[in-house]
Amino acid sequence: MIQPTLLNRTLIRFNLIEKVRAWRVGIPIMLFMGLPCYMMLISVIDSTEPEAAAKNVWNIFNNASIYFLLAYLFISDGLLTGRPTGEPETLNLLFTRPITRTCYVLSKFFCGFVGSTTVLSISVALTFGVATALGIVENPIDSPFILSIIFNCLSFSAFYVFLHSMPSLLGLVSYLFFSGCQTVGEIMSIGYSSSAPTFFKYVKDAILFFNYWFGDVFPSCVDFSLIASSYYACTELIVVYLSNLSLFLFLAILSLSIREFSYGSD
Amino acid sequence: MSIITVDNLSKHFRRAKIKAVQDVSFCVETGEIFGLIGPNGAGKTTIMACLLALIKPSSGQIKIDGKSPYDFDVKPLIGFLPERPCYNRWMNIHQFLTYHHMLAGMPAKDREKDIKEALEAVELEVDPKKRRVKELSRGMLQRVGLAQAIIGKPKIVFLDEPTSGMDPLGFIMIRKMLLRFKEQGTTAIVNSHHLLEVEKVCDRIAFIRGGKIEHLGSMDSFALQGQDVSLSWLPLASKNSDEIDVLLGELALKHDCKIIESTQESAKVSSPDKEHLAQFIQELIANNLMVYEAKSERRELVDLFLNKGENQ
Amino acid sequence: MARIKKGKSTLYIPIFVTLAMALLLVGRIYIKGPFQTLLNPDAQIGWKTLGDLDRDKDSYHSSLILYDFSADWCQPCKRMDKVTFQASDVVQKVREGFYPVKVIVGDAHEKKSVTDLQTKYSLYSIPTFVVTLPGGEWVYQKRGFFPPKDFIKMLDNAKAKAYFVRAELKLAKQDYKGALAELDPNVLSGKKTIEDEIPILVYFHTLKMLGRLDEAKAMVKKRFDFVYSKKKGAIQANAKSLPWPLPFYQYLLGEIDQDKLNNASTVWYQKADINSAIALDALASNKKDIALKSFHKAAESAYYSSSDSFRLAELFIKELEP
Repeated sequence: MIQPTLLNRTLIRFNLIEKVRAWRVGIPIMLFMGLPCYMMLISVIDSTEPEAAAKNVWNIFNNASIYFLLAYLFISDGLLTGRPTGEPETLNLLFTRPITRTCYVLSKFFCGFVGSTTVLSISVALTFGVATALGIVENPIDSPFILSIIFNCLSFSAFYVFLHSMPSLLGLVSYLFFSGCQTVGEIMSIGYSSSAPTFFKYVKDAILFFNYWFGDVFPSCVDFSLIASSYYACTELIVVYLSNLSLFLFLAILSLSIREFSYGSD
Repeated sequence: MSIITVDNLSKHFRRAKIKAVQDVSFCVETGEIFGLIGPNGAGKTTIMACLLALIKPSSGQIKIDGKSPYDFDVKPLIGFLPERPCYNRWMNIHQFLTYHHMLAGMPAKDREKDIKEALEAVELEVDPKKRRVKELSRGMLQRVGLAQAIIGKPKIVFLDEPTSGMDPLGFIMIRKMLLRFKEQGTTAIVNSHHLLEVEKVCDRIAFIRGGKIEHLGSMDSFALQGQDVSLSWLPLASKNSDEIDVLLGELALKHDCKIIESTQESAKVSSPDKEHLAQFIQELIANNLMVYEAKSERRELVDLFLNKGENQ
Repeated sequence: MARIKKGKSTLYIPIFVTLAMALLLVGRIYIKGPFQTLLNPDAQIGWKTLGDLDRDKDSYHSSLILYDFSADWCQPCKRMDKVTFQASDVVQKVREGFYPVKVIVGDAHEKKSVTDLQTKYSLYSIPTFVVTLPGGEWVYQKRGFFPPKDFIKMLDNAKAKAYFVRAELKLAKQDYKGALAELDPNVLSGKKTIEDEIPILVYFHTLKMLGRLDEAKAMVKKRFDFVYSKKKGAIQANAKSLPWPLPFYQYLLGEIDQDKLNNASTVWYQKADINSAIALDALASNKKDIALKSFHKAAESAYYSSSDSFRLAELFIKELEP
């Protein structure tokens, strides 16, 4: 008799192996692996300051969109089907099979995490090889760097699983809401006016409220090398980070449990 | 023994403000082929979705093999053919069947054999590794879906509109499959408005309209409900067609019958039961109509239900 | 694989997920809510206000002024407070040689002086960090969030550049020996190279006025050769004119005349470099009115008050203006 598990073998096999064998996912993954070392090659060869150029290339691994895209590649079927949201209707059939909603969410999360970490570690290794071959001595591959990559993969996979488990519209709205809350602080710091009318002050206060409480829900890249020196920042970041991770997984499972998969027009 | 029991099942969709299913109760015996029929929008698919734990009932209770449909242990017993083909379109047929074989928790060593058997059962003659699901026609998709439904060797099979998009060969294949279920003792719940296969194979049928079961019983119990007869007589010189119409009308009223259509030499009559019909024919002959043929017409299930709807 | 013993429902949510979520959510609200009020992020560095700046005029004459343009609604500013300004090495560095002033943009009490500063240092977004000499001469400016490591590097750069700005000040007052004392001996001895045009001009002019023209020319020649070898491809593709900044070096080396230099570039900030070079040349041959005119042109072309060429022009204009 089959027993409930936390991770599902089938989902892992199909998301990590079978999917990558399809060229639509395979080629982007090859690009993710190959592009950083290619960029290292061309930017260092063509540069008057190879060390600075190399540092710039290493900054790629601190870019949130890379993690988001990788999580998307491994969790969603979007690229394979040509529809950005993938195929949410296949869940109808899937949930008539012996699989719990928790297991589904955790398996997808696991695939996103393992997939993106694998791709990025190969990418880092290749880039490191090219940099060393070009005579760059100062490569930032230390434990904070590797930890940052792993933590980013975790948080972005959890976030994407959360979006993936929501009904399409709600997922899109929550994506826009959280990313908006995060961006609004930075936007306000670019164009400011010291003489705004009172009404806008209230609007500003409201925006600030959302920015303060929800601005850090949308995952941003963790960089351990930055915060190691500040005890307060470290504590806050870790609590917020873990809280995000568990919140996303919990909401994903909850959303799938509440959702009704009425598949017919009946 | 009942493998599925449904007690006072109701489902209201709050947003659309429809009571899709109201107070439905029935049970399905082990090894039975159970038909859910009714017009579009009757609530058949909602009932099925409740049975599959895809949507939550507003009230009422469902037991499958003595457990809740949400129970993990119920899931390995189930095979399901969805109405709309919601399959992972990027996989090829072999991958798709492997996916569901693995999900159903079947042993890996039997996989190739099981896939081959399932494909043979649905009479799909393509190379499963070369054709992708998204390249298949509607009928072929339906066959792949059927193969998927039976790949986990389920004890209960839910078939939602199994014949949609199928050619006549497909109809025969489905009938064969249902008969095989009967042999194997597999319970099947068939949701359909194409009644050909349902009439011939189903042990019992529940007719659903407006979210309620209007009739539940064996095929025969449906047929007994009414009698249609085509009558023909020799041309009559003494009466013109108007007089014949008047005569037919009077007699029909007297014997609770209904004239569906009439000409000068023939008529189609519907009567509530055999006694009334016999008396009607007897009086026709007594009125000098030389009846030479009375042909019983068995009603199609759908016609019956349509009439019922009109009566209401 | 792990097995769930309890809960055979397919909707079962494991207790550890729920518990972890709830605990961390409470922790998060605490750390962002009540915990915040226990902290005083400004205490570490000891930020001063603009009012303090006016009052303390005599006490900070030897240090540099570090302005932090910030606002309560600016997220990166808050991150600076929480992360960078909490780091002990940053705090130490700031205390060592800077007079830190926090300017709250949009502050109603000091609106006028804040707006003045914004105009003076061409501020367009926050957080911005501006380093000036005690007299208000612009030295260095950076915008955005900086982690501790980068912020320290920035402060070091500002400190190094402050010497250079002091040299400019002395140069404008025609105290050439004093200017030479402020300049980097490593550059003078050829151990280190400098890249930007204005610093090269200042070094060149100082040496020239002290009668060490050969040394100055050697320095420029070295830089010229280096850039020439780097831009070989571009030079071969366009034989007619040399790419910027090679004409600038050629002018300093005496290989081309003023007209040719004037035609070498039309880009505004490069025009500012050209005019500064011409003005300093005029000053060397004691044609003060031509120099003043060229410096005015340079300041106009530089446009942004936060640039080396603008500052250089401004310093000289201040001295030359009758």
